[in-house]
Amino acid sequence: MHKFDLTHFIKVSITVYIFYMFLYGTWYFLHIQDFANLRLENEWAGSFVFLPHGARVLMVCFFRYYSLPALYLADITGPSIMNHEQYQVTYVDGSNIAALGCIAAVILSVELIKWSRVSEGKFSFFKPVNFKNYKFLFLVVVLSSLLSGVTCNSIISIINDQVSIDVLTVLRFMIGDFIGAVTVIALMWIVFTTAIDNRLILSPEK
Amino acid sequence: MTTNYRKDLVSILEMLSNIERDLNLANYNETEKKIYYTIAMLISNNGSCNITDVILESRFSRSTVYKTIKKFERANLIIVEQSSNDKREFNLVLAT
Repeated sequence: MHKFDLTHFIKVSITVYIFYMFLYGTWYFLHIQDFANLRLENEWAGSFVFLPHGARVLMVCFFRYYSLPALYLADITGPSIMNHEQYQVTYVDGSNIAALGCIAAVILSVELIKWSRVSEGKFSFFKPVNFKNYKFLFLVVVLSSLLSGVTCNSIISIINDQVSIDVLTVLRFMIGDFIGAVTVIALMWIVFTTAIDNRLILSPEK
Repeated sequence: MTTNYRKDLVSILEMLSNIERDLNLANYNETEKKIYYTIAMLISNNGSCNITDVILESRFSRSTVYKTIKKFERANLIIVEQSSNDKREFNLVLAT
């Protein structure tokens, strides 16, 4: 029987919440400020690089089920905390449930990887997968992006009769989640190599 | 005792380390990188550079500098040429 570790849960929850909010804040700031001066008329252009999906994937993969409450809390409070006024105007019914769908997509992807015998032995929801091999992580990014785009938009569409979501929106969500997650991992890798080069941290291999 | 939290954080670092290893960008350590930058800087400032200049400028031991230059030569990063003025001296040229 898996023993629940409260201290670990608290540490993980704080880390997950801060990491997600940092990524959401960065994404939202870049999205609104239009730093590249693209003057895009479509305000949804930022969703092509949805950085917070990187937090979802990394946190579920490395902190497993301990990360879920904080991840959901960050997912539903992020938009409200970052820009409350706009959030009230653009809020769509079912967004909070759709956030659950996005997290479920990541969980499903991780379980699919387990089921495909990446982790040896009998299948178990509580058995961790070794994501030190980044190729499995990349597989989770791909699967979760595809599933997240479908589940999130389906939930919003089912809950709101007046909202109709076209295929291109679903595709945009898929691409955005994928590019966002890959960008986060790439940025973390750049920070990691810089820290190793400057001896701020020791390489785990040493 | 290593906590679960620390283990999970180390796993993230190991994953990033594996990306680094596979992309093959971590082949050279800090000393080797410094020697390469020294060679590049000397060539840029003086127009030429020999092994003695690198030893004096980098302050690494003769054997470290020699070993590193051999490694760079095998990787086709630099070319070692005999000096036309002094046959005992070798000039270093960055491979393009």
